[in-house]
Amino acid sequence: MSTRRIVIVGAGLAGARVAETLRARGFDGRVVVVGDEPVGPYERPALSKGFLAGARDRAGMLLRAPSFWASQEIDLRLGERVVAIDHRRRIATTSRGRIRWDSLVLATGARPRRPPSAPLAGVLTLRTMADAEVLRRALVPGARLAVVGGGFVGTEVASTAAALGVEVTILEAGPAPLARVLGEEVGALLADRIRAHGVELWTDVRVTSIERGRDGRGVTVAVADGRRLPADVALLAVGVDPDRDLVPPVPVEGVYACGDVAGIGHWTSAAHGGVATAHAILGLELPPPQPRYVWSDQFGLRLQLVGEPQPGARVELDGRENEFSAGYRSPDGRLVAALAANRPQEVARLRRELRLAA
Amino acid sequence: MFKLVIDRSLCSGFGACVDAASESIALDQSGLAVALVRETGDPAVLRAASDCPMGAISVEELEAA
Repeated sequence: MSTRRIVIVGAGLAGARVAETLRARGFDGRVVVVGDEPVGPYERPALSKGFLAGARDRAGMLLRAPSFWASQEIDLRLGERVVAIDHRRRIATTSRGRIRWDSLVLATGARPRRPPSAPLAGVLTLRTMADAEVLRRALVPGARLAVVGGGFVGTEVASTAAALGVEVTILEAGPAPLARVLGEEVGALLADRIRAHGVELWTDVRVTSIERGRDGRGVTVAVADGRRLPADVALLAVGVDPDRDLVPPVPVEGVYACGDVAGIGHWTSAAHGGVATAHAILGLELPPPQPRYVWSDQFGLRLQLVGEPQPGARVELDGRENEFSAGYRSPDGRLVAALAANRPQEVARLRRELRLAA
Repeated sequence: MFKLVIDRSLCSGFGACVDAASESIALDQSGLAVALVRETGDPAVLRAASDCPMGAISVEELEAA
Protein backbone atom coordinates (compact mmCIF):
# COMPACT_ATOMS: atom_id res chain seq x y z
CA MET A 1 0.00 0.00 0.00
CA SER A 2 1.18 3.46 -0.86
CA THR A 3 2.09 5.79 2.00
CA ARG A 4 1.49 8.78 -0.22
CA ARG A 5 -1.00 11.20 1.25
CA ILE A 6 -3.29 13.35 -0.87
CA VAL A 7 -5.10 16.18 0.90
CA ILE A 8 -8.07 17.86 -0.78
CA VAL A 9 -9.19 21.22 0.57
CA GLY A 10 -12.88 21.72 -0.15
CA ALA A 11 -15.69 19.18 0.04
CA GLY A 12 -17.83 20.45 -2.80
CA LEU A 13 -18.44 18.67 -6.09
CA ALA A 14 -14.90 19.16 -7.43
CA GLY A 15 -13.20 17.97 -4.24
CA ALA A 16 -15.54 15.00 -3.99
CA ARG A 17 -14.87 14.00 -7.59
CA VAL A 18 -11.11 14.14 -7.03
CA ALA A 19 -11.36 11.82 -4.03
CA GLU A 20 -13.72 9.32 -5.65
CA THR A 21 -11.74 9.25 -8.86
CA LEU A 22 -8.44 8.63 -7.03
CA ARG A 23 -10.00 5.51 -5.51
CA ALA A 24 -11.75 4.47 -8.72
CA ARG A 25 -8.39 4.57 -10.51
CA GLY A 26 -6.78 2.39 -7.86
CA PHE A 27 -4.91 4.86 -5.66
CA ASP A 28 -4.42 3.09 -2.31
CA GLY A 29 -2.63 5.72 -0.24
CA ARG A 30 -4.37 8.10 2.13
CA VAL A 31 -7.04 10.48 0.86
CA VAL A 32 -8.16 13.29 3.16
CA VAL A 33 -10.94 15.73 2.25
CA VAL A 34 -11.32 18.81 4.45
CA GLY A 35 -14.55 20.79 4.15
CA ASP A 36 -15.56 23.82 6.18
CA GLU A 37 -19.28 23.21 5.88
CA PRO A 38 -20.69 20.77 8.45
CA VAL A 39 -22.29 18.66 5.71
CA GLY A 40 -20.80 16.25 3.18
CA PRO A 41 -20.59 16.96 -0.56
CA TYR A 42 -24.00 17.94 -1.88
CA GLU A 43 -25.80 19.21 -4.95
CA ARG A 44 -25.25 22.92 -4.68
CA PRO A 45 -27.45 23.77 -7.72
CA ALA A 46 -30.55 22.59 -5.82
CA LEU A 47 -30.04 25.21 -3.10
CA SER A 48 -32.01 27.78 -5.10
CA LYS A 49 -34.64 25.26 -6.21
CA GLY A 50 -35.88 22.12 -4.45
CA PHE A 51 -33.99 22.67 -1.21
CA LEU A 52 -35.10 26.29 -0.90
CA ALA A 53 -38.68 25.25 -1.60
CA GLY A 54 -38.51 22.71 1.21
CA ALA A 55 -39.13 19.85 -1.20
CA ARG A 56 -35.73 18.28 -0.47
CA ASP A 57 -34.08 17.81 2.88
CA ARG A 58 -30.40 17.75 3.84
CA ALA A 59 -30.05 14.01 3.39
CA GLY A 60 -31.65 14.15 -0.06
CA MET A 61 -29.08 16.70 -1.19
CA LEU A 62 -26.01 14.55 -0.57
CA LEU A 63 -23.99 13.41 -3.59
CA ARG A 64 -23.17 10.17 -1.78
CA ALA A 65 -24.65 8.33 1.17
CA PRO A 66 -22.69 9.19 4.34
CA SER A 67 -21.35 5.62 4.53
CA PHE A 68 -19.78 5.90 1.06
CA TRP A 69 -16.76 7.87 2.19
CA ALA A 70 -15.74 5.44 4.91
CA SER A 71 -16.36 2.50 2.58
CA GLN A 72 -13.90 4.07 0.13
CA GLU A 73 -11.44 4.79 2.95
CA ILE A 74 -11.72 8.48 2.26
CA ASP A 75 -11.14 10.54 5.40
CA LEU A 76 -13.87 13.16 5.08
CA ARG A 77 -13.41 15.86 7.71
CA LEU A 78 -16.35 18.21 7.94
CA GLY A 79 -16.70 21.52 9.75
CA GLU A 80 -12.93 21.93 9.55
CA ARG A 81 -11.29 24.87 7.86
CA VAL A 82 -7.79 25.02 6.40
CA VAL A 83 -6.33 28.31 7.54
CA ALA A 84 -2.74 28.18 6.28
CA ILE A 85 -0.49 26.12 4.06
CA ASP A 86 3.24 25.75 4.42
CA HIS A 87 4.32 24.78 0.93
CA ARG A 88 7.96 24.26 1.82
CA ARG A 89 7.23 21.75 4.58
CA ARG A 90 4.04 20.50 2.90
CA ILE A 91 1.87 20.98 5.94
CA ALA A 92 -1.66 22.39 6.08
CA THR A 93 -2.86 24.00 9.29
CA THR A 94 -6.56 23.59 9.95
CA SER A 95 -8.96 24.81 12.59
CA ARG A 96 -8.36 21.49 14.37
CA GLY A 97 -4.71 20.68 13.80
CA ARG A 98 -2.11 20.05 11.14
CA ILE A 99 -2.01 17.66 8.18
CA ARG A 100 1.02 16.65 6.17
CA TRP A 101 0.54 16.20 2.44
CA ASP A 102 2.40 14.84 -0.57
CA SER A 103 -0.10 16.19 -3.09
CA LEU A 104 -2.50 19.01 -2.30
CA VAL A 105 -5.70 19.83 -4.17
CA LEU A 106 -7.28 23.23 -3.66
CA ALA A 107 -10.99 22.94 -4.40
CA THR A 108 -12.08 25.82 -2.21
CA GLY A 109 -14.82 27.01 -4.55
CA ALA A 110 -16.11 30.54 -4.67
CA ARG A 111 -17.92 33.04 -2.50
CA PRO A 112 -20.72 35.42 -3.38
CA ARG A 113 -19.79 38.95 -4.28
CA ARG A 114 -20.79 41.49 -1.64
CA PRO A 115 -20.32 45.24 -1.60
CA PRO A 116 -17.52 46.42 0.69
CA SER A 117 -20.00 48.10 3.04
CA ALA A 118 -20.69 46.65 6.47
CA PRO A 119 -22.98 43.61 6.57
CA LEU A 120 -26.59 44.47 7.28
CA ALA A 121 -29.26 42.26 8.77
CA GLY A 122 -31.71 41.29 6.05
CA VAL A 123 -29.13 41.37 3.25
CA LEU A 124 -28.41 37.77 2.33
CA THR A 125 -26.37 35.78 -0.14
CA LEU A 126 -26.84 32.19 -1.27
CA ARG A 127 -23.95 29.80 -1.61
CA THR A 128 -24.13 27.23 1.17
CA MET A 129 -26.80 25.02 2.66
CA ALA A 130 -26.76 27.22 5.77
CA ASP A 131 -27.36 30.29 3.57
CA ALA A 132 -30.34 28.54 1.97
CA GLU A 133 -31.80 27.70 5.36
CA VAL A 134 -31.59 31.33 6.46
CA LEU A 135 -33.18 32.52 3.22
CA ARG A 136 -35.91 29.89 3.42
CA ARG A 137 -37.04 31.16 6.83
CA ALA A 138 -37.66 34.57 5.24
CA LEU A 139 -39.80 33.17 2.43
CA VAL A 140 -43.21 33.28 4.07
CA PRO A 141 -46.40 34.21 2.21
CA GLY A 142 -46.73 37.97 1.85
CA ALA A 143 -43.07 38.70 2.65
CA ARG A 144 -41.28 41.09 0.30
CA LEU A 145 -38.05 39.91 -1.29
CA ALA A 146 -35.72 42.09 -3.36
CA VAL A 147 -33.42 40.04 -5.58
CA VAL A 148 -30.41 42.00 -6.76
CA GLY A 149 -29.15 40.32 -9.94
CA GLY A 150 -31.15 38.52 -12.60
CA GLY A 151 -28.71 35.71 -13.34
CA PHE A 152 -29.36 32.02 -12.74
CA VAL A 153 -29.32 32.19 -8.93
CA GLY A 154 -31.45 35.34 -8.83
CA THR A 155 -34.11 34.10 -11.22
CA GLU A 156 -34.27 30.64 -9.65
CA VAL A 157 -34.70 32.08 -6.16
CA ALA A 158 -37.35 34.46 -7.53
CA SER A 159 -39.22 31.52 -9.05
CA THR A 160 -39.06 29.47 -5.86
CA ALA A 161 -40.05 32.43 -3.67
CA ALA A 162 -42.96 33.47 -5.90
CA ALA A 163 -44.33 29.93 -5.74
CA LEU A 164 -44.22 30.20 -1.93
CA GLY A 165 -46.41 33.33 -2.04
CA VAL A 166 -43.59 35.85 -1.58
CA GLU A 167 -43.80 39.25 -3.30
CA VAL A 168 -40.63 39.31 -5.37
CA THR A 169 -38.87 42.10 -7.23
CA ILE A 170 -35.82 41.37 -9.37
CA LEU A 171 -33.38 44.25 -9.94
CA GLU A 172 -31.24 43.54 -12.98
CA ALA A 173 -28.43 45.74 -14.28
CA GLY A 174 -28.83 44.59 -17.88
CA PRO A 175 -31.70 44.92 -20.34
CA ALA A 176 -33.26 41.56 -19.42
CA PRO A 177 -32.73 38.72 -16.96
CA LEU A 178 -30.07 36.23 -18.04
CA ALA A 179 -29.32 38.39 -21.08
CA ARG A 180 -25.60 38.24 -20.41
CA VAL A 181 -25.61 34.42 -20.55
CA LEU A 182 -28.44 33.67 -22.97
CA GLY A 183 -28.60 36.81 -25.11
CA GLU A 184 -31.20 39.56 -25.22
CA GLU A 185 -33.70 37.68 -27.42
CA VAL A 186 -34.05 34.83 -24.94
CA GLY A 187 -33.79 37.28 -22.04
CA ALA A 188 -36.84 39.15 -23.38
CA LEU A 189 -38.84 35.90 -23.54
CA LEU A 190 -37.87 35.11 -19.97
CA ALA A 191 -38.74 38.64 -18.82
CA ASP A 192 -42.30 38.22 -20.11
CA ARG A 193 -42.54 34.88 -18.39
CA ILE A 194 -41.21 36.18 -15.07
CA ARG A 195 -43.71 39.05 -15.09
CA ALA A 196 -46.55 36.69 -16.01
CA HIS A 197 -45.75 34.81 -12.79
CA GLY A 198 -46.40 37.95 -10.76
CA VAL A 199 -42.77 38.87 -10.16
CA GLU A 200 -41.86 42.50 -10.57
CA LEU A 201 -38.84 43.06 -12.77
CA TRP A 202 -36.74 46.23 -12.89
CA THR A 203 -34.20 46.18 -15.71
CA ASP A 204 -31.31 48.51 -16.57
CA VAL A 205 -31.07 49.54 -12.94
CA ARG A 206 -27.97 50.11 -10.89
CA VAL A 207 -28.32 49.52 -7.16
CA THR A 208 -26.60 52.34 -5.29
CA SER A 209 -27.27 51.35 -1.70
CA ILE A 210 -29.11 48.97 0.58
CA GLU A 211 -30.01 50.47 3.92
CA ARG A 212 -31.99 49.56 6.97
CA GLY A 213 -35.71 50.06 6.39
CA ARG A 214 -37.30 53.31 7.43
CA ASP A 215 -39.10 51.95 10.48
CA GLY A 216 -36.02 49.96 11.50
CA ARG A 217 -37.43 46.78 9.95
CA GLY A 218 -36.35 45.21 6.70
CA VAL A 219 -34.28 47.02 4.11
CA THR A 220 -34.61 49.72 1.48
CA VAL A 221 -32.89 49.21 -1.85
CA ALA A 222 -32.03 52.44 -3.67
CA VAL A 223 -31.34 52.52 -7.40
CA ALA A 224 -29.55 55.14 -9.48
CA ASP A 225 -32.69 56.54 -11.11
CA GLY A 226 -33.98 57.56 -7.68
CA ARG A 227 -36.47 54.79 -7.06
CA ARG A 228 -36.46 53.09 -3.66
CA LEU A 229 -37.69 49.57 -3.03
CA PRO A 230 -38.70 48.56 0.48
CA ALA A 231 -38.37 44.87 1.25
CA ASP A 232 -38.21 42.53 4.22
CA VAL A 233 -35.14 40.82 2.85
CA ALA A 234 -32.70 41.47 -0.01
CA LEU A 235 -30.75 38.73 -1.72
CA LEU A 236 -27.49 39.71 -3.39
CA ALA A 237 -27.12 37.45 -6.41
CA VAL A 238 -24.52 39.34 -8.41
CA GLY A 239 -22.06 36.56 -9.01
CA VAL A 240 -19.24 34.85 -7.16
CA ASP A 241 -15.49 35.24 -6.93
CA PRO A 242 -13.03 32.34 -6.64
CA ASP A 243 -11.95 31.72 -3.06
CA ARG A 244 -8.21 31.97 -3.74
CA ASP A 245 -6.99 32.70 -0.21
CA LEU A 246 -4.96 29.48 -0.10
CA VAL A 247 -3.82 29.47 -3.74
CA PRO A 248 -0.08 30.17 -4.00
CA PRO A 249 0.85 33.17 -6.19
CA VAL A 250 3.08 31.00 -8.38
CA PRO A 251 2.54 27.33 -9.33
CA VAL A 252 3.96 24.90 -6.78
CA GLU A 253 4.88 21.33 -7.63
CA GLY A 254 2.40 18.88 -6.18
CA VAL A 255 -0.31 21.53 -5.71
CA TYR A 256 -3.41 21.40 -7.90
CA ALA A 257 -6.54 23.53 -8.16
CA CYS A 258 -9.91 22.58 -9.58
CA GLY A 259 -13.54 23.64 -9.50
CA ASP A 260 -14.66 27.24 -9.14
CA VAL A 261 -11.39 28.32 -7.54
CA ALA A 262 -9.64 27.50 -10.81
CA GLY A 263 -12.11 29.55 -12.87
CA ILE A 264 -15.81 30.10 -12.27
CA GLY A 265 -17.69 27.42 -14.11
CA HIS A 266 -20.67 25.23 -13.60
CA TRP A 267 -21.57 21.75 -12.51
CA THR A 268 -19.99 19.88 -15.39
CA SER A 269 -16.80 21.95 -15.33
CA ALA A 270 -16.34 21.29 -11.60
CA ALA A 271 -17.08 17.59 -12.01
CA HIS A 272 -14.82 17.28 -15.02
CA GLY A 273 -12.07 19.33 -13.34
CA GLY A 274 -12.18 17.01 -10.33
CA VAL A 275 -11.82 13.90 -12.47
CA ALA A 276 -9.07 15.50 -14.56
CA THR A 277 -7.15 16.56 -11.44
CA ALA A 278 -7.23 13.03 -10.04
CA HIS A 279 -5.89 11.76 -13.37
CA ALA A 280 -3.14 14.41 -13.35
CA ILE A 281 -2.06 13.45 -9.82
CA LEU A 282 -1.83 9.80 -10.82
CA GLY A 283 -0.11 10.54 -14.12
CA LEU A 284 -2.99 9.15 -16.18
CA GLU A 285 -4.26 10.37 -19.51
CA LEU A 286 -6.71 13.24 -19.05
CA PRO A 287 -10.39 12.61 -19.85
CA PRO A 288 -11.66 14.29 -23.05
CA PRO A 289 -13.21 17.73 -22.52
CA GLN A 290 -16.99 18.04 -22.42
CA PRO A 291 -18.93 21.02 -23.72
CA ARG A 292 -20.08 23.25 -20.90
CA TYR A 293 -23.56 22.39 -19.63
CA VAL A 294 -25.83 24.52 -17.47
CA TRP A 295 -29.40 23.84 -16.51
CA SER A 296 -31.97 25.86 -14.66
CA ASP A 297 -35.51 25.23 -13.48
CA GLN A 298 -37.58 28.36 -13.18
CA PHE A 299 -41.12 29.63 -13.78
CA GLY A 300 -42.22 26.32 -15.26
CA LEU A 301 -39.30 26.08 -17.68
CA ARG A 302 -36.39 23.72 -17.67
CA LEU A 303 -33.57 25.57 -19.40
CA GLN A 304 -30.65 23.49 -20.63
CA LEU A 305 -27.70 25.28 -22.14
CA VAL A 306 -24.89 23.44 -23.88
CA GLY A 307 -21.78 25.35 -24.90
CA GLU A 308 -21.04 29.01 -24.32
CA PRO A 309 -22.92 31.69 -26.24
CA GLN A 310 -20.45 34.43 -27.14
CA PRO A 311 -21.31 38.11 -27.21
CA GLY A 312 -22.40 38.94 -30.73
CA ALA A 313 -23.51 35.39 -31.50
CA ARG A 314 -26.43 35.13 -33.91
CA VAL A 315 -29.44 33.66 -32.12
CA GLU A 316 -31.89 31.40 -33.94
CA LEU A 317 -35.10 30.91 -31.99
CA ASP A 318 -37.51 28.10 -32.65
CA GLY A 319 -40.76 27.27 -30.87
CA ARG A 320 -43.19 28.98 -28.53
CA GLU A 321 -42.97 30.58 -25.12
CA ASN A 322 -43.61 27.33 -23.26
CA GLU A 323 -41.26 25.24 -25.30
CA PHE A 324 -38.46 26.56 -27.42
CA SER A 325 -34.88 26.16 -28.42
CA ALA A 326 -32.20 28.61 -29.43
CA GLY A 327 -29.05 28.05 -31.44
CA TYR A 328 -26.13 30.43 -31.05
CA ARG A 329 -23.88 30.83 -34.08
CA SER A 330 -20.57 32.63 -34.36
CA PRO A 331 -20.18 35.25 -37.13
CA ASP A 332 -18.72 32.53 -39.40
CA GLY A 333 -21.86 30.42 -38.92
CA ARG A 334 -20.49 27.81 -36.54
CA LEU A 335 -22.85 26.51 -33.83
CA VAL A 336 -21.21 27.54 -30.52
CA ALA A 337 -24.04 26.95 -28.06
CA ALA A 338 -27.61 25.73 -27.90
CA LEU A 339 -30.42 26.23 -25.44
CA ALA A 340 -33.39 23.93 -24.96
CA ALA A 341 -36.37 25.18 -22.95
CA ASN A 342 -38.74 22.35 -21.99
CA ARG A 343 -37.27 20.31 -24.81
CA PRO A 344 -35.10 17.73 -23.04
CA GLN A 345 -35.32 15.39 -26.02
CA GLU A 346 -33.05 17.75 -27.98
CA VAL A 347 -30.24 18.06 -25.48
CA ALA A 348 -28.24 14.93 -26.19
CA ARG A 349 -28.27 15.66 -29.93
CA LEU A 350 -27.19 19.27 -29.41
CA ARG A 351 -24.41 18.19 -27.09
CA ARG A 352 -23.03 15.77 -29.69
CA GLU A 353 -23.36 18.35 -32.44
CA LEU A 354 -21.40 20.84 -30.36
CA ARG A 355 -18.73 18.35 -29.46
CA LEU A 356 -18.23 17.62 -33.14
CA ALA A 357 -18.14 21.33 -33.97
CA ALA A 358 -15.54 22.01 -31.26
CA MET B 1 -21.92 -7.50 -11.38
CA PHE B 2 -23.34 -4.02 -11.07
CA LYS B 3 -26.92 -3.09 -10.25
CA LEU B 4 -28.02 -0.06 -12.26
CA VAL B 5 -30.75 2.33 -11.11
CA ILE B 6 -31.73 5.55 -12.88
CA ASP B 7 -33.86 8.11 -11.08
CA ARG B 8 -35.78 9.58 -13.99
CA SER B 9 -37.18 12.38 -11.87
CA LEU B 10 -33.62 13.73 -11.65
CA CYS B 11 -32.58 12.99 -15.25
CA SER B 12 -32.22 16.07 -17.47
CA GLY B 13 -31.40 14.29 -20.73
CA PHE B 14 -27.75 15.36 -20.87
CA GLY B 15 -26.86 12.06 -22.47
CA ALA B 16 -23.30 11.60 -21.23
CA CYS B 17 -24.37 8.25 -19.74
CA VAL B 18 -25.22 6.92 -23.19
CA ASP B 19 -21.82 7.97 -24.51
CA ALA B 20 -20.22 6.06 -21.63
CA ALA B 21 -22.41 2.96 -21.55
CA SER B 22 -24.56 2.64 -24.66
CA GLU B 23 -25.12 -1.08 -24.08
CA SER B 24 -26.77 -0.46 -20.73
CA ILE B 25 -28.44 2.94 -21.03
CA ALA B 26 -30.43 4.68 -23.77
CA LEU B 27 -32.47 7.85 -24.12
CA ASP B 28 -36.19 7.33 -24.68
CA GLN B 29 -38.49 9.44 -26.87
CA SER B 30 -38.81 12.12 -24.20
CA GLY B 31 -35.04 12.42 -24.13
CA LEU B 32 -34.62 10.92 -20.67
CA ALA B 33 -32.36 8.04 -19.76
CA VAL B 34 -33.66 4.51 -19.35
CA ALA B 35 -31.79 1.49 -18.09
CA LEU B 36 -31.71 -1.30 -20.68
CA VAL B 37 -30.56 -3.79 -18.08
CA ARG B 38 -31.03 -4.14 -14.36
CA GLU B 39 -27.68 -5.76 -13.79
CA THR B 40 -24.58 -5.84 -15.89
CA GLY B 41 -20.97 -6.92 -15.67
CA ASP B 42 -19.88 -3.91 -17.72
CA PRO B 43 -17.94 -1.42 -15.55
CA ALA B 44 -18.79 1.30 -18.10
CA VAL B 45 -21.90 1.98 -16.00
CA LEU B 46 -19.60 3.36 -13.28
CA ARG B 47 -18.37 5.93 -15.75
CA ALA B 48 -21.96 6.69 -16.78
CA ALA B 49 -22.87 7.35 -13.15
CA SER B 50 -19.93 9.65 -12.53
CA ASP B 51 -20.50 11.55 -15.80
CA CYS B 52 -24.13 12.32 -14.96
CA PRO B 53 -24.42 15.99 -14.03
CA MET B 54 -27.66 15.39 -12.14
CA GLY B 55 -26.49 12.49 -9.99
CA ALA B 56 -29.44 10.54 -11.38
CA ILE B 57 -27.62 7.24 -11.87
CA SER B 58 -26.64 4.95 -9.05
CA VAL B 59 -24.57 1.85 -9.50
CA GLU B 60 -24.18 -0.71 -6.79
CA GLU B 61 -21.52 -3.37 -6.97
CA LEU B 62 -23.08 -6.73 -6.16
CA GLU B 63 -21.13 -9.40 -4.29
CA ALA B 64 -20.24 -12.32 -6.52
CA ALA B 65 -22.61 -15.18 -5.72
